[in-house]
Amino acid sequence: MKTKINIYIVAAIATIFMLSCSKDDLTQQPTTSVSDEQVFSSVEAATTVLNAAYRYIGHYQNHTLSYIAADVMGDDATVTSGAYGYPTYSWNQYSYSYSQVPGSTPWWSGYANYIWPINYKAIDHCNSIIVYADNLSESSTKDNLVAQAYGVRGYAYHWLVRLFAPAYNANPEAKGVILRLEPANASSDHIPRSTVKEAYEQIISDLTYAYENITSTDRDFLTKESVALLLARVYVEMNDFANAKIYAAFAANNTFDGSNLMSQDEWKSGFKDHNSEWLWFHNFTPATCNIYASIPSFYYYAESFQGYPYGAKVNIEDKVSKAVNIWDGYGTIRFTKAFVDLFEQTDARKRFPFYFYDEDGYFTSKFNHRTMMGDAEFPMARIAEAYLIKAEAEAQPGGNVALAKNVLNNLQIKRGATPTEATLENIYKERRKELYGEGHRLFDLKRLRLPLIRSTHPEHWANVDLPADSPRFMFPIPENEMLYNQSLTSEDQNDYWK
Amino acid sequence: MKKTQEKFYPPNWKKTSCNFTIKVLIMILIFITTQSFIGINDQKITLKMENVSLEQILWKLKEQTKFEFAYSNQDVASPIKLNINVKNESLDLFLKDILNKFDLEYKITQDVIVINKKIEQQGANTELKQQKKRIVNGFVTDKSKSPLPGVSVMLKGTSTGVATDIEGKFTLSVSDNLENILIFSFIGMQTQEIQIGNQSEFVVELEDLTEFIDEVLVVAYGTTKKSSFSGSAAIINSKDLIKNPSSSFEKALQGKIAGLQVATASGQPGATTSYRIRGSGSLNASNEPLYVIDGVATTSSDYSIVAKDAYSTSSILASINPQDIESITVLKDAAAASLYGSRAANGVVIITTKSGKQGDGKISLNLQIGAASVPKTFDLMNSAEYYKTIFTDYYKTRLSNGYSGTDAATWANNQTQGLITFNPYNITQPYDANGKIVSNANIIVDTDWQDEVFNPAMTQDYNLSFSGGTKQVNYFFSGGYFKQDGTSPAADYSRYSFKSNITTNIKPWLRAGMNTIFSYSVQNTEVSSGQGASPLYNSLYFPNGVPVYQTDSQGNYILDEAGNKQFNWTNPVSKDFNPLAIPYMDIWKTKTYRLISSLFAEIKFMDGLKFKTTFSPDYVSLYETKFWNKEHGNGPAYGGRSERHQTHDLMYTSTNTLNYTGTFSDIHNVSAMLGSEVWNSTREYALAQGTNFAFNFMNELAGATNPLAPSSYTSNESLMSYFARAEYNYDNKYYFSASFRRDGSSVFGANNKWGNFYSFGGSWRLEKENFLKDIAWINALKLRSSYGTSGNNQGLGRYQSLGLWSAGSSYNYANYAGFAHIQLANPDLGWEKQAMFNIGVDYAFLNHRLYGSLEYYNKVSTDLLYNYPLPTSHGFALIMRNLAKVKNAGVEFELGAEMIRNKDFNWNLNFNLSTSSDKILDLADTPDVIMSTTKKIWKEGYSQYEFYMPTWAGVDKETGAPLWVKGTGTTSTYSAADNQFQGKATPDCYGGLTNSFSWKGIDFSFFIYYSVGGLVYDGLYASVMHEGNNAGTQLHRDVLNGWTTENTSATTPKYTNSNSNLSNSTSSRFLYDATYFKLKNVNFSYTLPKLICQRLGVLNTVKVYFNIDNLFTWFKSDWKGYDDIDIYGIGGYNASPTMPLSRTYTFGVNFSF
Repeated sequence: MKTKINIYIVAAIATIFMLSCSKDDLTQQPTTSVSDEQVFSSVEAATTVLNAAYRYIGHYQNHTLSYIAADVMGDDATVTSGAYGYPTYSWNQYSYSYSQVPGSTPWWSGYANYIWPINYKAIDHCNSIIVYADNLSESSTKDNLVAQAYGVRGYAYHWLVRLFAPAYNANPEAKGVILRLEPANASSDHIPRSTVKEAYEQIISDLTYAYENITSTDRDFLTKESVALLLARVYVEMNDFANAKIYAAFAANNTFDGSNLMSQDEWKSGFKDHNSEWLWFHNFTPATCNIYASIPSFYYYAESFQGYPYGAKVNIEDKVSKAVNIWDGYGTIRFTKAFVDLFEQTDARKRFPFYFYDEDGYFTSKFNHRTMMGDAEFPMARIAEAYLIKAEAEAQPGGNVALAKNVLNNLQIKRGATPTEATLENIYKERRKELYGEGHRLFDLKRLRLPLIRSTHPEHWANVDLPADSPRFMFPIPENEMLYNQSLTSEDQNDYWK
Repeated sequence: MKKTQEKFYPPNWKKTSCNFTIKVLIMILIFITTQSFIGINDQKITLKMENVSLEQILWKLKEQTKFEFAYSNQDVASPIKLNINVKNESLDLFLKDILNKFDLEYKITQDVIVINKKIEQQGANTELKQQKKRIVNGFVTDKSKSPLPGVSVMLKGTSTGVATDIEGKFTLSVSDNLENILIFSFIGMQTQEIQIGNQSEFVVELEDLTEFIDEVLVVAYGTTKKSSFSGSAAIINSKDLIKNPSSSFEKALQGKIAGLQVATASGQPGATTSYRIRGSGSLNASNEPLYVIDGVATTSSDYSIVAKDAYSTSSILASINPQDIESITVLKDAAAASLYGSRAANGVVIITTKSGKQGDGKISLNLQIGAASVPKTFDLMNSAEYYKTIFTDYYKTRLSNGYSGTDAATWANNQTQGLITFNPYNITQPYDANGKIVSNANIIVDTDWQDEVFNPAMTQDYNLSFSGGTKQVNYFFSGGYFKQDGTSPAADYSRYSFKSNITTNIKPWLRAGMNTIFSYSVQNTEVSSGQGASPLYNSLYFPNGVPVYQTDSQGNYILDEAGNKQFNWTNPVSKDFNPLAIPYMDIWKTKTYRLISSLFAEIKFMDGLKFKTTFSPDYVSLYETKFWNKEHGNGPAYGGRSERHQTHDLMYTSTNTLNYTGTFSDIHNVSAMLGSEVWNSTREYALAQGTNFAFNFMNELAGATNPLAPSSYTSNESLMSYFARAEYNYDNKYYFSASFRRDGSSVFGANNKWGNFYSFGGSWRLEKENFLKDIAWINALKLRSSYGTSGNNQGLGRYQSLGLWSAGSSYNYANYAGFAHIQLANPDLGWEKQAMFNIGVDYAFLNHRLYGSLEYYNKVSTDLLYNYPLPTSHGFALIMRNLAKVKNAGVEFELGAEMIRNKDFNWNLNFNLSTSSDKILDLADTPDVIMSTTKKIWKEGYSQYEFYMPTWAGVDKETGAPLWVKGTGTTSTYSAADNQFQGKATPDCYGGLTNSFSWKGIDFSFFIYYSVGGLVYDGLYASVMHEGNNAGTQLHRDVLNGWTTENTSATTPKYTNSNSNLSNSTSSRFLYDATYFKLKNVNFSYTLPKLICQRLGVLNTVKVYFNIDNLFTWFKSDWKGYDDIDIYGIGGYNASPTMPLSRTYTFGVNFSF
């Protein structure tokens, strides 16, 4: 009996130590993620990393906030003041009024805290492709993939340097961005701010590599032509008009007769689908964008007002009863009367269907919607800009002014405007008319070293007048970067935010 | 049973029961002259009763005199009814007369009247007469060995009995049967049964009923007696848990247990509650304790996606019906908890559900119904005040720009009406050229949105249980239904729960059982936070000038063709939302199915040696629906949008333990345990979604014409453990214990899979020592101490140590699949390690009238999981590492007092107080972490809940601008202000005070929770003090006292339309002293006299009760917010609205059969 019990006891103890399952169970793998090795195991796999980089570029907290900031921090666009029954919903209001903060709260006043890390997220993905693609076997698709990564990285650094640093031609030795060219790892170095000049050198180097090596022609990704336009954009900021001319010409396929520009009907129908003039567009779909927070949502306008002619002042009381779907989008961006008055009546680009009060500014219908509100492709690079760069470069002292006039006039005629002389002033004005809402105005003020003058227009409720080269044209380096980048001191913050 | 009753009462009884009850309650007049009587002969009584049984008469006598009655039910169970009408008669005569009618007689010893059949009757029983008699005698004392007179000593199953004399002695003649059992009973003492056997001399020590120190405690992998326990643990029993109906038990523990801090972040029915046991040892990992249900460690994670999308929560612990809980033990120190190893560092909450007890079957029916309301809301501007504030600023600005008064007024009126989106006046120009209100201007819309949104809500809770047991089988079954409506629109929670618990002794050496809980619950979640869809947000931020229904310029509703009111969708705050309509049009529904089952078998090899194997599956399944209607709110742009989320988690625990207990030489008590355990969880998730619906009433995905990207994942986690515990005590005087556990987990890095945890404890019962033994007023005095280690693996992602590139619709570009780099690898990632020291004393004095404990702990947590911050240009904001070190220390004091303890009236008082301090000791040379979302800073030497924000410096007298501290001066630019240390959110001390009174069947108690010290940031108040920074949004009435040229000493800055001075951004302006006292619970109950219950039929007990929760709160500071600081969480910060906790009135009835 005693022995029997002892056997049971031994069996029980054995059970205690043997029942446990295999030790392999302590190593579990996720089902929706892959490892560093797996994601760079083939060009197909690595391409998914590039796709994620594009997604970050189009992320609403990057794309919407930075593109709209570039317009509303200028003098032509405004954000509704919250009066007239059209609240700002706090979106974009603080970049418009130049009262944003370096911290991340409240979220709507700390744009830098979104734009900066999301761009660096895209950059990190590009860095990973550039470095880890070395392990992939050689192929043309691999070369294109790497070239795309260079292109996206150059594009992202270009946005960052323009938002967070002074203009190149104002002070190339000023503090620029943090140039990170290696993929992140747990022990990555802390890197100081480069100069503006170093940033531009890196951007040119990246974009040039992309220009020379991109072979794909899908325009929802970078192509040789669209990279050429980005390069022209960079060179014109550096006053390097010779290079600007060359790349603008390549972007436009050396055609400046207006034949490669979109038709007036296409312009009037509102930007929503790409056409032959769009060299690069961000391919937003309802599933891959936040439709409420995408750019067209902020330009949302009522399709019609019963009984009102185009461009009329609408009685505020008819806002609901006589408009169709006016409340669908945020619809908070307006343009000043002065800006609207720049356009001739015949100009196809005069897309300002109505307004409620002078003080509120005009709605624009430049941006439209596809299947649902907020769903639209967005132009990242258009041939029209190549015309304008070409004209601007040729109109410089010593340039071919006749050619400049020809290029400018071909654009004007195509749009339904009266041709003018190709003075620089006229070309700058044409840029405003052609490119409004596409994220250029602030950068033009900066590179042309112009002041910001709002006080002359009643539409501006934030009467911020700033001198040329104002330090306020720069976003603050976000709080987290200042705190945790050990290579930065408080001196590295932009002047206004110190 | 029923048969007996029929016999017991006359046939006409039931018909008249109702009337009779009233008669008994009202008509019976009992006057007892009780002026300091000496003996039964001097006791005079006056009694008038109709149609009553003997037992009813005795009951009355017992209640009204100082005498106890001892009798057997059989003897007094006669159907004969009497009418009594005596006046000032001697009790002796009265009794003799009455008893005679039933062939009974009485004897009296001290204060006990023992009623027996008349001796002649007994003598007539020839059987008894022939039986051999024995004399037994003895001596009865209380715990302090003082003799107890008047103890009833009865021979079980007979009417034979005596009472002890003044020296506590008794003598009784019994039949000579070894099986005879003596029953010793005395009021306030535990009844004891002793088998006579061969003994003839008895020394009996009766234990106090109120004895607290020897509670049975459920501890890690077993039970123990509190007196022999060296660890720190507290227990709450079911009666304290279920005073008011609640979806979950967690809230009921607030203030009841020293060292446990409870915060409920939302009044959403079904939402989660946060626990902090002895402070917060973790920075980035979870600080929530481990929950163990009937011995099985389980999850407390929030599974709900939809509730989270609605910025709320859904508690998985609510799947346990609080009515099914027998007790909750909170394990606090290492000796108590560290046997749970890598999951024990935040303490352990052990939930024990009900089981059957040996004895008669019992049916219990509990019905509760309650009403809840929000007791306090913000004092916001009415329509006229808001209009005037906005108008005045516009008007003055226009005037100062050189416009005429007429122009300025017209312009400002238009602007104001535009900003409100509605003209709340009956005329278009309510203010004239002088900026004055026009005499015929009347307000036509003044919507109190808080009042519209918050409405009284009903709670229902119905439970039925069956329980009982025999020598072989114990059983408990229950079913429950619970439904709680939220105080804001469309939020509710309902639950159907079932439980079955059976334990059987199959063989002398084998015991087995199964305990199963199944519940199904449905939560409709209110959208919270700053979402347009949130009624809570909208109720605070819509100005009163916005109408609920479409209204014309004269204030009449604009009716639709069918004559119905139409909701108004225009407002300046939430585009196309109306808080009274959207919650009913959209769906945020979580259905949770939960099955927890535990099957065990226990083999007894020999006395003291047992092997137990338990297998426990725990299955959680959620089916969730989200629907945005196509007409208004978030849905129109999509043509309606619907989502279905499916989550399944199949967990299982397999535990094997070998237990030994033994006693050697009577004084060496040893116990030991050896065990192993495997835990595994497989979680699966799938999402399907679509847009573009044909109809609003169709929300199934079959009706969606455009599918959106689906998604799914599976994740696994496993934990493997070996553990052992040994305990020794010498003569129940000196106790020692030690435990060890080794855990291996899949969560941690490849280089760090296994961890070891141990504890030591000891205690010393001083009252057993000779030098204290004779001190009568010391009943118990125990010194105990422990030290041990444990770990924390909670709150970490399952694949946190791996470098991850993840798929997901957030990373796809157009129709191209994207994989994003979301995590950097850290193969060294391991446990958070914690070491805790505890020392304490348990005491009971003055015949157990004062009792409690006092203890001190100190815990140091190292290798904390730490989100090591990286510059964002790195591409990653952080990487998880084991770095930091935190210390928590505190004192816990518990005192119970029986202020009054006598036969009829009891006053009991329970008080507890806890202090805790936490300090960050080491951040491994990383920079201070500034948490912009919660406005805290982590800095060495400070609490992890230290507020860090600009310091408010008041209002600029010259300009009315807001001022903050900058350097030695001030600034009016918010972003230039200095961030400063403001103090911590956690209280200096907190606790509770319970007072309970009982008089006869009436119980009354009230409970006060208090919290002293600490700060709370009122982000909600801040958001309605925006001074124009948030155009169109509602304002608090305090803005009316803002700065003007006439009122330059105001403490509120100047109001300006389209303001951008960020005056209400986070600063010490909105920090408050969080000290408060809350009358949290008032409970009144009445247990009907037994007599009446019996009259009512099969009933055993009927208890009716009334309960009020959150009756009143007193704040030390000038607190503006809801009557509820808990919604600000442990960290004292919440910038967006959540549903406040409500005041609840509950009425309940409990029947048991």
